[in-house]
Amino acid sequence: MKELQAENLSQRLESLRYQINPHFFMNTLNNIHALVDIDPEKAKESIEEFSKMMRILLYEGDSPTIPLSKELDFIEHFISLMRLRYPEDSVHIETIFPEDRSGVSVPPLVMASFVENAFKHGVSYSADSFIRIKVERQENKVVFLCSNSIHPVEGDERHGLGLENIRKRMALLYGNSYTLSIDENSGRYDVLMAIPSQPEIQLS
Amino acid sequence: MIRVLAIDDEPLALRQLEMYIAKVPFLTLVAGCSSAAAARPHLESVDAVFLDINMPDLSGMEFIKSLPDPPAVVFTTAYSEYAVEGFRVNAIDYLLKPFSFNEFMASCEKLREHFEMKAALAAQEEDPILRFKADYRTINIDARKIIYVESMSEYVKIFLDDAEVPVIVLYSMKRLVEELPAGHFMRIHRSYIVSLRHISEASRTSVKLDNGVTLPVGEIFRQAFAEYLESCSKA
Repeated sequence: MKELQAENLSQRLESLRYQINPHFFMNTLNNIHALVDIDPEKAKESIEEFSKMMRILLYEGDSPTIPLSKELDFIEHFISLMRLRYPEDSVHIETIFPEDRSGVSVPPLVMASFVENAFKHGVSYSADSFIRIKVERQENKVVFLCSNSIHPVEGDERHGLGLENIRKRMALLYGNSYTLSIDENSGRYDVLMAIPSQPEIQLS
Repeated sequence: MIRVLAIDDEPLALRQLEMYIAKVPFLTLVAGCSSAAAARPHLESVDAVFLDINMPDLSGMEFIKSLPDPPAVVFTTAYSEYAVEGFRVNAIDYLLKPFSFNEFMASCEKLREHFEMKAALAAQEEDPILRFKADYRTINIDARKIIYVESMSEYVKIFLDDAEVPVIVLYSMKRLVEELPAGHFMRIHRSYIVSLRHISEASRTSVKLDNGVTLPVGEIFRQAFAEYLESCSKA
């Protein structure tokens, strides 16, 4: 029984691992530590944002779906914490999110993991770079678009395992009624994902 | 005074490092740099660097390995797996982020001990005979005879008290400063090292030597020089 529990936990941790990179947490804590000296008010704000992200990640990260509003909150907090790491003006981040976020559920942290990936591969400290994220509601579905400039980093590994995992989860939830396409031929990385507003299969 | 560079690609980490350095009385911050490339031009005029290992373009570790004559280095990193490698490149210390001011101060004490030991060793070898290779010859120079040294790109011109023309050899100012006995020589400018015994007049901003030559004191060397003058006036 204990073994089973341990295995369960390790699986959950494993699944969290490829949702959001653990380095993100370390880096964020380091930045907040520096902010306490530099700008205590901003430090406080960052802790609040970090805490809201952790709440979603720890308590809802393994539910089949979460409300769209929470996913978008998570992404907004993530972006604002990532912003701490880069000199201002060199990274252009644009987000267009729908005003009405009610009545839609999405698999937790799938969109967020594409956004994380966009930062990982798309942002350079020295050259201009951009990330554009758009979430749109259409009739019975939600469309997610994420484009970023490509600045390959040394020792880069692609989204590989994470992407495979995402496809598995999507197939479980939506069968064939979702779209996920990735295009990196035009010198930038484009993710297009369209999912039904509610999952087809009801999971308990 | 130990002259240092702070190098970190993340703006907040760099600012915190600069704030810590400002609080340490025996450190002078020469520059804060956001990349190895930005740090390169300052290397000649510093004793030590605080260096982030994880940087895009060129990692801190690769940067240090690429230098023929690296300064003393204290690594900073968010990842513990680099500790072992850090000590392999002879780092003075290694700070795991986030670090408190007290932890930072402990590393600074290690730095200070390192330089005190180096100075003590140099003092033991008072007035060495310096040996330079030039045009297939070896030139021996008695340090006591040196009035001052002027840099000339990769060469140094050594002015002696018993010669009309300077001796010119291929050598770096930084190495020369380290090899000359610290109690008798001082770098006062990017381009000048003077023999303290040959100074006839001095102010905060200039030095007159007993062969009649007047040299300026560079801005970043002023504080150290002022401290030296202070210590003379007490004696």
